[in-house]
Amino acid sequence: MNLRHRHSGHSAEAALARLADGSIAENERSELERAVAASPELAAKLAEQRRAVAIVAAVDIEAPARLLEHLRSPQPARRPRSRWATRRGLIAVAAALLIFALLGARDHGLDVRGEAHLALARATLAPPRQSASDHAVLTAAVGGVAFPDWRGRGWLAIGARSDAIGGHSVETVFYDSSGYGRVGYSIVAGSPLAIGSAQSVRHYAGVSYAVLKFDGATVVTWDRDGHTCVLASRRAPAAALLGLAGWA
Amino acid sequence: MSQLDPEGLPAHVDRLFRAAWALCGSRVDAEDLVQETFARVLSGPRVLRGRDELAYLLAALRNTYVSDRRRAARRPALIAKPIEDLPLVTTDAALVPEPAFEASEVLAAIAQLPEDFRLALIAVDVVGLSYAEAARALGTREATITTRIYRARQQVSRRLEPDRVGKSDG
Repeated sequence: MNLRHRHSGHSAEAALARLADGSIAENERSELERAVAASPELAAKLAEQRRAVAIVAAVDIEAPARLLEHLRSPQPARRPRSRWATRRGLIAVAAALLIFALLGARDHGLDVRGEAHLALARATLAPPRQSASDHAVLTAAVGGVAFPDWRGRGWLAIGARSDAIGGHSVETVFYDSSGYGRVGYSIVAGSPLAIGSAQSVRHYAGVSYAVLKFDGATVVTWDRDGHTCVLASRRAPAAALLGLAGWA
Repeated sequence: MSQLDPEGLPAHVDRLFRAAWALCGSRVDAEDLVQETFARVLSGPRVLRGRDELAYLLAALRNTYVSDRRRAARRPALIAKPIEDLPLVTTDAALVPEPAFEASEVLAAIAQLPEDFRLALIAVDVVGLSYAEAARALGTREATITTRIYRARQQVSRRLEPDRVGKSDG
């Protein structure tokens, strides 16, 4: 049945979409409902539309609290500078406020939880390639500590990012596996970060691995050659991360 | 012409976050996208030009998303795999006559739509704009938006059928 609305010029699809969410004009509703009642095909299409409307309407996720905190952080007063400088400055201030909010404005140095946020963030760079001279590592490194190439273990490097927190540069490589999704591996330049409280500490081959929870994710952290290393994942369990860390 | 009121932004955060998640397909990316969008709109006075705040913010969200994708596309050998997230249980089965779906399942289904369909569905069914507001926010005709919404809902409904195995879209 090819239904057309003379008044609105809408196609049958458009009319059914509006009827499904109740936005159809009243003067069109009755005619369309009669047409639907007379046509099993139209009735099925309308049911499909209503089903989708109900399913999407039931999604009631709330934004993370830190997004609201980010909005409510005081904005710096605007000074008579160029428009572009002001915009870049405000974005930098907003990012710094967010990072310090996450760190809890600690006064005893940086905590590994602040860095874990970066390991859970979005990649902003292409993934580093496999090293030509050593196929066990990637071309990215921090202070001589190279990121491993884990493709043989089913983890493929899919992206990277570079950040700085409190004067420490942080390089992160993201790996993905079909079983556990994504894991972020960050190496922090400079002296090791404070860990704070950990769920557990494992010891293997002379290295201590701390396991902790952060923002619903599992985090494993340890030191390599004086640099803090952090593995973080929202899906992979601690055992998987410890396994990777042992190979790092 | 009125200006965007920063004090009113917190009231829109939840809907924009859902829209961003449906757009990106990732909770983590959605958070970044919303943060970046707010940073942009707060960086200077914003004139609404007849749009309401939510429509303006959706347009800003979409523009930020597109800009980010263009930047990423200019980098060599960039990521092509989707990022998976933990499911969040938020649906109230008493309100939905269908089997309750994990919110992440629904948003993932939306994220898999062709971009035009996805944006139309997000604007109307996720963010709650009228068809006219959605058309203005997305820079297209109202009739076009309506058709895209129809097809988007059709695809989402079929993707989330409990007994979909063996069936094909038609």
